[in-house]
Amino acid sequence: MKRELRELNKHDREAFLDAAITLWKTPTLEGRQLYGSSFTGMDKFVQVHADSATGDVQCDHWHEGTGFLTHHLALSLSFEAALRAVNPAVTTPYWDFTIDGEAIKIWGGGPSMLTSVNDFFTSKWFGSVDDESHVADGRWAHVDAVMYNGGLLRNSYVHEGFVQRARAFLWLF
Amino acid sequence: MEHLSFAEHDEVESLLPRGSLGHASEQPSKLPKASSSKFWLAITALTVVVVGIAGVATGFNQRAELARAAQLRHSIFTEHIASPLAFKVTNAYGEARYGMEHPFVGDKYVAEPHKEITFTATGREAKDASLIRWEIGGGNGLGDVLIITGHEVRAVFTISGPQTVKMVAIDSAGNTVAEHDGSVLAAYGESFTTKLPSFARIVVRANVKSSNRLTTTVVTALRVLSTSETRTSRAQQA
Repeated sequence: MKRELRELNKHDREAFLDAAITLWKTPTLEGRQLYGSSFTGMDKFVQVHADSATGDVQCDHWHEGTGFLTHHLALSLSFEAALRAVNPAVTTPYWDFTIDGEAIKIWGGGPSMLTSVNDFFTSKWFGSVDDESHVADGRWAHVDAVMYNGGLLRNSYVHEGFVQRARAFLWLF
Repeated sequence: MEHLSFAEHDEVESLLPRGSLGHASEQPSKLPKASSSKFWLAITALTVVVVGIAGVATGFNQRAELARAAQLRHSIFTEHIASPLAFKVTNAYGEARYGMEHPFVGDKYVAEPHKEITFTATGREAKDASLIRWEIGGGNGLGDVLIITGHEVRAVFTISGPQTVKMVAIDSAGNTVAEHDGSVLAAYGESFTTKLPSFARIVVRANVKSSNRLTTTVVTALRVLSTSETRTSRAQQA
């Protein structure tokens, strides 16, 4: 049953986080030998996202269009299948961020208060961030970010190149 | 300044498409103006009537659906009070009522796979019965049926799909005083599919810890897939 993050009891929260960090720490090939064919590691998720979206020289097929929901839903389903390959009792929870938004509104703050109105960015959940933007504690502490496309999570071509091409196109007219 | 003669003007007019501006139509309209208005008025009225009927029918249908849902909720709410013998299903979050608005769930409890659920006997006959006999599982045509006794039993389903639950209340003399046939839906929740691999094999393992009124039961289903066999052989090689 899909539950909001804050509705999970401790047992289910720990099970979800334990399964999730396994996806970050286990490469896909190794994970499929350990957990079966439905396992997908974070290395593969990043690669698929980069290849089909920001890494495609023609265009971004995954964002700013009607494909956004379907493509990312497919990723979410694969993510949940991978979690269940590790622990079949796990279901991906969802984050109802309107709860946080309402809390911020009541306090009269702005988006910077996001980390103050919940404990998602603490060691209880996904870890806190130090001054150098590193995850400092929790399961993701000091876990290397998955790199792709020459070390970048997003290909700079898409942003810089797109703007240059758009300007050149407009200049023709 | 030259002016077109009448003959030239006629030639120019003949080049214009019929019905275009400046061209006098030679053919009279098939319908008189008054008849045409009546025709379109009739069409409009008919459309309004059809749309109205469809709207009213849809409204009735929605009302019927809402009434049915309300009746279902009421029947479920009163089930434990009115029925001589019934059961309720709870998990770590409380009573496992999910997705009742979906017709494929309806009045069934949803048992999340791989999570411990508790079956509790309810109803007036359950209170007086000295023994409750349960037959759990096997509703999807796969696997064994677990037979267990106790007013409260715990189980873990490891496959999805409908599961039958049969209860028999037995008094101290050994007589059957009430029976109840029900079912639960073992499902993760986001997808209430009942498809199971045809090559699945189920092993039921009963771990019974008997006490006066509490029995713990674990139903384990083991899927034997080709991939898992491959995985095993790979693991052995490694």
